[in-house]
Amino acid sequence: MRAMQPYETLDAVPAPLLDIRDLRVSFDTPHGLVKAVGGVSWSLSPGETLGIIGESGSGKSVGLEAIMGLIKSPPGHVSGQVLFDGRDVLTMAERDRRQLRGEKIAMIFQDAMSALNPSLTVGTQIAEVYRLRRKCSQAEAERKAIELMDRVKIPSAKTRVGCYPHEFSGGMCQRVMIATALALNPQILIADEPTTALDVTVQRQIMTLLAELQREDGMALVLITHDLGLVAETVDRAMVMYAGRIVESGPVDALFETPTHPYTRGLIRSMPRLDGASGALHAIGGTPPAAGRMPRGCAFHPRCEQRVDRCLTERPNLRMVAKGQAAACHLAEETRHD
Amino acid sequence: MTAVDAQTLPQDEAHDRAAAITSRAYFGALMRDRVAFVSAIFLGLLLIAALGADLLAPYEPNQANLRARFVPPLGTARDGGFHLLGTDELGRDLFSRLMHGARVSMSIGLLGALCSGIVGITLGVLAGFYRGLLEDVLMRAVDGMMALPSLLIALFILFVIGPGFGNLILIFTLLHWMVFARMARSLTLNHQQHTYITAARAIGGSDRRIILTHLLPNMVSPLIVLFTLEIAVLILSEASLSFLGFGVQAPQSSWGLMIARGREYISSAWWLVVMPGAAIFLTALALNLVAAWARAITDPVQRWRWLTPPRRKSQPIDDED
Repeated sequence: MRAMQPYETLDAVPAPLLDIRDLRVSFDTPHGLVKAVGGVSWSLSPGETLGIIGESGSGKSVGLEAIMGLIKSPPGHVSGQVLFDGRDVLTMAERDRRQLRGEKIAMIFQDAMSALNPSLTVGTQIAEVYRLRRKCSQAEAERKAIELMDRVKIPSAKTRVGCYPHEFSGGMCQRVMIATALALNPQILIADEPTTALDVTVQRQIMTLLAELQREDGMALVLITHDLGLVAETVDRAMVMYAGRIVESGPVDALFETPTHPYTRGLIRSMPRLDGASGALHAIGGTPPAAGRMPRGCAFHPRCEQRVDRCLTERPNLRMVAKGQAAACHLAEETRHD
Repeated sequence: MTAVDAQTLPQDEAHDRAAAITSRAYFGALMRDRVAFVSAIFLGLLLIAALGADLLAPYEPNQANLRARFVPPLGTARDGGFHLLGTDELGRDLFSRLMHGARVSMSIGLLGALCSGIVGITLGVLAGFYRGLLEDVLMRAVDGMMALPSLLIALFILFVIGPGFGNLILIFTLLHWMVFARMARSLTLNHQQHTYITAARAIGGSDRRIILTHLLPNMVSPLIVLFTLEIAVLILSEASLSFLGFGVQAPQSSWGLMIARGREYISSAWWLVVMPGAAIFLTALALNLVAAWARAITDPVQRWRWLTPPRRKSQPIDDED
């Protein structure tokens, strides 16, 4: 028997489960080609929890949808490489790719109420993938649905398999979504703002549930959110996205303790705190650029308090600033070179 | 979450409730909506009359009886025969002829709507789902065909290929599929925005599966309404075409044809025009009223409102009555 290799650091993980290289997504619009994601690279190890933080329109959801193959082309264009277990998903035949979705990579969505088909019972929907792939009988599918509903802790699952989504509360719908995603024990679960539409107590329950399920199955979780508190609590490693690019990434503790990029710093400063002085919250001035009108140089420079001349003309690349932590900022590089 | 826990039901009760919804609830909902109920009864009777015309009609519809010409409604002929709706110029019983005519009118309406529905919905869903060139071509075709004066086109084509039942269905499919296509396309576009379609794709559903199990069931409600309304429109169209002599031909009888024949005697025997006219009017009206009811009842999200009986006093919400 071979000795298990302990995962020493996050960067030294042997083979990533998902390896994204230079992923770009753009869309044809009446106003020309619009870049939604511009060259993003990251990887995910088995069992890891990765957070992707960003404002609306920063390209976090679009990037993940591209990985899942949910971008319609035309008008969308996806390029780069998405390696799952070493195989490039983007060049795969549609058939194989469909096989991958649901079976290996599952996704849950922001608004569970609208992510469930109103005309099918929750049981049918939970067991849908299972029936599709395992070609089992109706009775077995129902048993599986009940089992999954038990797993996501929906009370009295037996009576509820026949209910319709509109008979469920938002939190229960999200549980149904999670059950649907878990049907085939995927290796990666992508959660696109899974708790945004829920109230805070339910948010906590859902996150606890996800963490529990993740522990049981050892699946990797990609959590897309704009809720920094959520990230700080649940995630191992996080990436901050701005205007379609990663501006900073690293272990979540490092990111919160020593944020390097002015945008990350701004985000963290704009979080309400229990300990600090009370008063008006910090806000990052200005608005994110529209996807069609990206500023030259660093996309963040119009809003940056520390910009220098270089920021106006030259786009900073993602560079290591500390162990496992990378930032895309000219100033960060300079502090390091000093 | 607490709400869910609180209303946790004993299993049997929940099962009973689910069973009740499928079977008896539809009837109960129909009973509560009086107008729809009366309309449904009318359509039901009409269907019975049309299907059982051979057995139920009091007289042979095509048998002339010169001793009983122009008997007014509720009149008795000289040979002693009672005629509920009177007789025509050849002494044929109007009521029996209406029953037989109903068969033709109803089946043309139903079949025509069904054929144009199948063609239109298929094309419309494909256009909305795949977009691109298919959509452009199809929707321009729809726009073009909508601009055509359909009655004239129908007359022209029927003149070329000849009148008759089958040809009528063909013409109606040709001239009415656009209505369904347009609606099916817009519904498809609308529903594709919903996350559950993305979600279905995310679990690896094929296009076919997404269309059949996720899109179509959610589109049923408005399409059923359109279908019901189209039946009424087609019955009226058939009446106009038969009236103009291009529809159903002589030994066969339809309501439109009966009006056409009765027109000559309108000053002396008003019932020859009024009775079939009333039949057309009432059928179209009943179909429209039932359509409104069907819209409510087939909506997957809204239907429980109509399907569950009014709440009992013990329950807190909604007990004004």
